[in-house]
Amino acid sequence: MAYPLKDIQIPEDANKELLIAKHTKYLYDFAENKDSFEYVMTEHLRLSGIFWSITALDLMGTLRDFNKEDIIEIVKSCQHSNGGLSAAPRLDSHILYTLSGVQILVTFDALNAINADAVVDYVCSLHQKDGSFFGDKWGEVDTRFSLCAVATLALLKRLDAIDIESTTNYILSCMNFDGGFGRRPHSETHAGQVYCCLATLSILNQLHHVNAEQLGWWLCERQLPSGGLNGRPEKLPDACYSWWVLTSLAIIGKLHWIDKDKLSAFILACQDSDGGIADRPGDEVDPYHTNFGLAGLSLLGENRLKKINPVFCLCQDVIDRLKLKPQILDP
Amino acid sequence: MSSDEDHVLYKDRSDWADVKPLDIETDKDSVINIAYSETFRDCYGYLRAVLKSGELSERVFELTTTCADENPSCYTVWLLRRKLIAHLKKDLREELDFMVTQIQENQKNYQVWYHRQKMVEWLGDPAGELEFIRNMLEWDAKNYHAWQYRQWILRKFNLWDGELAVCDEMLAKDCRNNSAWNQRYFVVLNSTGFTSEVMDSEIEFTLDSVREVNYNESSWNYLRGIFKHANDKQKAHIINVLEKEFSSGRKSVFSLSILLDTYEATGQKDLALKAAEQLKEHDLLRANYWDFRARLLREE
Ligand SMILES: [Zn+2]
Repeated sequence: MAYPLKDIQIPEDANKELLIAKHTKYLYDFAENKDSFEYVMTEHLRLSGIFWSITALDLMGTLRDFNKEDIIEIVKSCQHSNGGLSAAPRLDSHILYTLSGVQILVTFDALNAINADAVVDYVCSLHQKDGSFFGDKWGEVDTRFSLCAVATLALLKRLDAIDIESTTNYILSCMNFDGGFGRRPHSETHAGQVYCCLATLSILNQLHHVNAEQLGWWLCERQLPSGGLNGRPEKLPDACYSWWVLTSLAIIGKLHWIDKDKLSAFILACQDSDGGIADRPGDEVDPYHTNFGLAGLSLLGENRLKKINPVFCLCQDVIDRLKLKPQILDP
Repeated sequence: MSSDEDHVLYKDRSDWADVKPLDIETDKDSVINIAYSETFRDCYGYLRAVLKSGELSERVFELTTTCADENPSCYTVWLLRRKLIAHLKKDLREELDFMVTQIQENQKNYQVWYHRQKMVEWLGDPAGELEFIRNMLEWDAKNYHAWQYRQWILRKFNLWDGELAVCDEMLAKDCRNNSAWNQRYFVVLNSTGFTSEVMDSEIEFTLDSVREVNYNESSWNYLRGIFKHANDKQKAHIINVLEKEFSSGRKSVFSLSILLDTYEATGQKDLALKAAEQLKEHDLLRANYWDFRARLLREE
């Protein structure tokens, strides 16, 4: 049975070893070089950028005291009077960056730097009657925002602040005929949204609603002969989608349904010899793909990396310190 | 990016002389060596200043145009722009025109799509929108934002007539377009529903499609998705066609996996088990999955 497929070919001379020292240097340089074009152009997602960098470094065991005090100061200066956090000082608060800020602070064990009660109020103010969440006061709805809201509250130990039933029901209303999830009811299934929905249900301890078998099949169908995973049918493989799919499989206990060695080889091939990981071999690297590439390798059992928690995308020791136990289905 | 040579930096404009720009939290006296970054740094310096002062005026509206051109991913620019549109009672049609190029140049950016949606919501009139989206889908037929916006328009303004024909057309162009298959399901579900007659035509449409291109995950997934709406006669028909396809040598992991599911759903355990064993052999990447299916069947 032979079939044509959208895929890539891994070059013969691609990297096969994990380049920890190189990635560490790449991330330190990225953060130091505040006048670089990349740095200046990404102000609008600064807190997320910081989160990707510190999580990647934490995974590699090279976070040490990486600008800790400065970073905590930045996070602090991003909190607004409505309790929410913005990507950078003076921008508007948004649920995406509120979660990033909280993830950064729990990594540094510095939650007291911000007003946590105000964050909880902010998250609750975005909760809608149908159980969905707005991203900000302008009213866009997305299952990503449900995860941001629920994960933020869980990290702050304030899940009691929202109605779990309606939140769950909204997520379930986004389930499609192929067993996957989209951004809103009836939006096409997309690996990133599948992760968001599964992680939300996991935190709320509601995974029993999911058809793990059907969804597991859709997810493992994402693996292509190159070993990489794509985010939707007929799309190219990508290191970040490899993470969204892989972690979704981990949450529903089906990680063993894909070929782990081939995926590992794909992610390693996405490394640049000068450090950093790209979406595909040979492409431009960035902190985002570097973090999710490493997170994927960690989930695949790479023993030079710390263990990642699939639900929160934080090092497992951080989640253990907070005594959180998100639901994971048995294999 | 505005590569406009006539662009005057805000620091050189007399009508902005009363505002002191605010720098990003970096070293003050450093120089960036990228050609257009001066425009970028200049307009965002003034943006930060007006965000701080809260000024809502025509000149700020013009500033957001420059900022959107320089970096449309900055979500705050769009928030501020909407605030200004409401405050200054700007012409919404003019804003829709402005958004045409913005979306064309930044199709993957969800801010621009959402901004357009808000304008149409405020306007309360979807005239021209379906055509606009259709044109955008000519560029990228799988653009998630475009499809999502299309679904919003269809539902909000109840525009189902002719939408199934649009799906037909899109799938005739590319039967592997998963977004169009998803749209098909959405349209049927929200317009006619999966009645018995509709199922007859949906089954034929899908079987024709898989007969034409066998290795196509999306059409098989659609078939799997509508299978639950089929009556017994329709189920038997689907199995019959698939078996014929299969015995004529047109095999794929997908057709075999659908056969496995349909056998299982109709209680034909032995045939299902045989299919699972075959799949385990052929689909090595997912051997563990097929092994799991075979084991379940044996345990039943
Ligand atoms: Zn990616």
